[in-house]
Order: sequence, then C-alpha cells, then structure tokens
Amino acid sequence: MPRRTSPLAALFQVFAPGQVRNLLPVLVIAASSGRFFLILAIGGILGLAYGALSWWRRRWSFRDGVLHLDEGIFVQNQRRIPVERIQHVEVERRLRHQLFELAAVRVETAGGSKAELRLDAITMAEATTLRSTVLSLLRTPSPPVVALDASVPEGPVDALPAPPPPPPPPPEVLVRLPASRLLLAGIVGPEVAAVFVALAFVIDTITDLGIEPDSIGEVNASRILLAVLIVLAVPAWFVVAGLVSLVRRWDFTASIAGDELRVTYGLLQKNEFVVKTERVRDVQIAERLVLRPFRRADLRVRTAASGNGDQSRVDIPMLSAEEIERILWRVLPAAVPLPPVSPAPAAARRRALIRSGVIGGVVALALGGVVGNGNPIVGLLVAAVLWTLALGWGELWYRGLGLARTRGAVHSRTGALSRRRAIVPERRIQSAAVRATFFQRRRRLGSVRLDLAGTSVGVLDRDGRSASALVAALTGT
Amino acid sequence: MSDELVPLERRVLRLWRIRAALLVVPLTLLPLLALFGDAPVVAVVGTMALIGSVGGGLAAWWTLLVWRSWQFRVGEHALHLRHGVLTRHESTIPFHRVQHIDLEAGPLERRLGLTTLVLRTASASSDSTVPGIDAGHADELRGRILTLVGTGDAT
Repeated sequence: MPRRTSPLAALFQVFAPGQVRNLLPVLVIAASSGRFFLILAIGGILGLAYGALSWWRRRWSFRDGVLHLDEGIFVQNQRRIPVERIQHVEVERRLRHQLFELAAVRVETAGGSKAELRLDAITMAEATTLRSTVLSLLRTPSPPVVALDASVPEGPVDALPAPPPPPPPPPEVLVRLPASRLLLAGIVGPEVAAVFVALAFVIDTITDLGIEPDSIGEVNASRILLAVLIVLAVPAWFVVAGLVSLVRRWDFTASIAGDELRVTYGLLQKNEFVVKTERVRDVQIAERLVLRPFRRADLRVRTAASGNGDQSRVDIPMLSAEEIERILWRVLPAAVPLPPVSPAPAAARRRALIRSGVIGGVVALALGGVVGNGNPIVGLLVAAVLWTLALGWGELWYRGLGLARTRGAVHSRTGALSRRRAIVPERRIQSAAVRATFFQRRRRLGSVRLDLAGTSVGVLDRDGRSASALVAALTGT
Repeated sequence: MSDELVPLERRVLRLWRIRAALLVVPLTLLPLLALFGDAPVVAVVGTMALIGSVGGGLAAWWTLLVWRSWQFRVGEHALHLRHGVLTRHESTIPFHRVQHIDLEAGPLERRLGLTTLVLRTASASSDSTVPGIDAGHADELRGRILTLVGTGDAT
C-alpha cells in the first residue's frame, strides 16, 4: 500500500542543517524589519506548512517489482522505477535520523548524476526491508566460481605439493609507443601551444627593452634582434614540447589482460588506466589535422563514466591504422575490420556548399569592406579569397561526412580539417532520433542522433528515408 | 499497441494557448503604464490592440502548428515520437532501455485532465517526453510500458 514518509520529514525538509540556507532570506528580512521575532515566526510557520504539505503529498510503495513515488504540491510527479533498473540503494543515517530510529534511502539508476529517488525519512525497519527486498530481487550475475581446492588431488599433502594457483593471464602488449613517436606527439600535440606563449613572452620582452625607434638604425637593430630571437625560440620550444611529451608519456603501453584494457605511461608520474572491455561505451578515432599527413590518429576509449568531456578517458595517441585495428580487435571486436565509410548523399554537398557559401559570403564581404578601407578592388579581392576558402571548407566538411556499419557497431565520421570517427556499439544505444531542419527537409536529408549514457553521437546529413531506417534498425523496432 | 501514430489530445492545444495567454496578456497590459506619463489614450489603446492582436494571433497560430506536428505511437517494443515545426524530430525509445517512468502534471494540466509522460533512459539526451496524454488513460499506458521494460541490459 502507498504510504507516507515519517511526519518528521516535514521538519527535516525545511530545517535540516543542509536546508538552513533557505531560511537566510527570512533572516535578512526579519533583521531589516523592526519585528525580528514576528517575521521569523511567520517564516518558520510558512516553511513548516510547506514541509507538511509536501510530506502529505509524498507517498511511496514497492510492489510488483516496481518502486513507486508520488510527490509534488503544484507540479505533481508520479515516478516508477522497475527494480531491474536500480543500480544502487543507500541507507543514510545522520544524527537526526538516529535520534528517531529513522533513515534516508537513496535509490539510483544508471545515468544522471543525482539520486532518482530519495526517501527522507522512513523508519529504520522500512528502510532495511526496502533495501533487502530490492537487493534480493536484483539478479546479480554470479561470476564463475573457480574452486581452487578442487584442483588439489586427494592424498598425502607432503607427497604431492599443491600446484600453484593458475597465474592470471599475462598482459598481452597491444602497442608500445617508441620514443620517437612520443617526441613527435609532443610537437604536434597540445604541448606546442606553449610555443605561442613563449613567442608572446619574447616579443613582450623586446618591446619592454625600451628601444625607442627614433632613428632608422635603431629600428633595424631591434627588428633584427626580434627576428633572431624568434628564429632561435621556435625550434628550441619545439624541442622542449617534444621532451615534455617524452617524459609525460614515457613507455606508453596499451595492453590487454583478460578482459581489461590497460594503458600505462609516464616517467615521473606513473599513470595507469584500466577499462573493462565490456564497459566500453564508444570509441573515437581522432584524425587530427596535424596527424593526417602522417596517417596517424588518436584512439579514445570511453565508458559511461566518461561523460562528454575529457575526464576519465583512455587516450592513445599517434596510432597507425593497423595498430588501431589491433587494439579494437580486443577492445571492441564489433568495430573491426574497420570498414570504409560511405559518403553522404549529393544533396548534403549542396547543403554544405550553400551553407558555407552564404555564411562565408557575408563574412567575406564584411571583412573585405574593412580591409579594403575604401579601396573597392582590394576589398573585393580579399572578399573573393575568403569566399573561396569558405567554399573549400564546405566541400571538405561534406567530404568528411561518412557512415558505416559493422555487425554490432555504427561508425560515424565528421569534420572538415580534423576528422573524427565515432564508433558506437549498438548495444550501448539508449535511444535514437532523426532530426531534420527546414533546410534539410527541402533536400530530403536528416541527421541521426544516437543517445548514449552521458553523451550522444551524430550521424549527419543522410538521406531522410535511410536515416529513419537506421534508427529503426538500431533500436530494434 | 496501435500501429497508427496518434495525435496529442486536443486539450493540449488549449493548455498551450492558456500558457501563451499568460505571457501575452501582461505584455498587452504593459502600455497602460504609459497613461501615468500623460500619453494620449488613443495611442495607448491602439498599442494595446496591436500587441494583443499580433501577439495573440501569433501564439494561436504557432501553438496550432506545434500541436499538429505532434504524433506518437506506443509500439510493441518502443515509444515513437514525431514532432517539430521547423526542425522535425523522429525519436525512438526502446522500452528495454527505460530506467524509470515519470507522469508529471502541473495545476493547469490537472485542471484539463492531462498528464505528461516521461521515459527516462540512461542518456540525458534522449528525447522521450509526451506532453499531454489523457490522465485517465495514462495509468494504464504506463502499466503496459512498465511490463515491457523487462530485464535486458539497460546500459
């Protein structure tokens, strides 16, 4: 039967130490008015009324394997969580709970950062019953139990020494980056941004030297000094960037041990990342612009914990296609052999060119007007060059688009200069959608969005019909 | 489980129009303030009429377009949505990915006997909200989906 939480919840909700800051405005108003205690009392009563009302509206129950929670004063919400989806049940007892034999229960499902359901407070008996019921209903996959004792043959122990337990499978090294590549990774990597910082510093220093350009000779002298310093600083800084990378990524090794991908590196600070291969949510092959001439790409392995950002992501830099395939065979076999991607339809090219042409045209004319500064020929020339660049970018953007499917994975490539191929295992797709803007529909195009835990991956500008078919196939409908 | 895409309840249109009115009416009344500044009454009334008719007309027209664009289907294995006027969305949310189900109703919605169905998956970007189904029907619909949520691997 649906039941309410403890009536004390009304008090806890408003006056718990964590909630006291909600009372600050009341305090401020009370202090600024003449009648401190009156205002304080009114505020307290209103708060209590609110707490009581929301307590009255909050009802919960657990029946037929579904957790129910109905709550809300104005916007009323009825939440249902099937027990199979529950990841985690936490019983929390703060001092106020302990005083009254109460507990706060937090229930979490996958995805989302905060608890999907929170019962503060219910009796300790209710909390323990709820927890044990949920946990007993959750079917935990039992790992294969290897009974070590069973392998010991019967008999006198001293005659037959027990065989040592089977050693864990030795880690198999998938790729170990040589020092030359680590140096190169620094030169083409983020470390090189430091070069520009250094340059700015050098230029700053020179201007600070206070060389007044009051004679031709001195101007030349300061310019020569600047040029010499730049010529010296740039290669020196590239060397530094390379060395930094060498130290940071020293002995960069990706290996597989059982079902775990291990990435270890670092000379001073040793880093080790371990990812269970079954937990891999998606993989990205980043063909950064600077790497494309070398036919190298970075491989990024991401789990549901990765979110969309760079946090807790395993990043293996500067790999050749063969090395990427070798790693993927063990990490995401559904993705290999890496198929060539099929280009987007011709309509997508027109769309890309029109888009970059129109936007680029407006920007080019504006910039041309500024640069030309009254000289129409210079202005038009600049605008023409910029517009050509914009059109070229549109063409490259179109050429970057690509889609491929292997059994069990979707590959989506995007990017004009730096290209990125996202590989999504089908069983990680939560939901999918086709999105078509007004301009896309005019050309019978649509983009597919694949929703993953913590992120989403786009397959841009496909034929509208095949986009819908892709969604249907990927969601098993 | 119908195979047909169905529109939202007609009452949803009324709901959206009431919400739009809550925005348009104060905007229309705004020129009244000018009366304190000795503005001619004719100009004030004229401005109000203009804001009211244009704002109201636009709101009525746009809500109708949005309402017409909305269709959904509770299939055998998934919820299918179609909506969007300028940008069209066609979303599929397989039931075996659903983490939990919310039925949400504000005061206005309750007044009109409507409720919003939200299927939450592990992905925050899932587009899985049906804004306005009949409240009497919602319970049964949710029960049906809950039995289909099943036991598969949701993440």
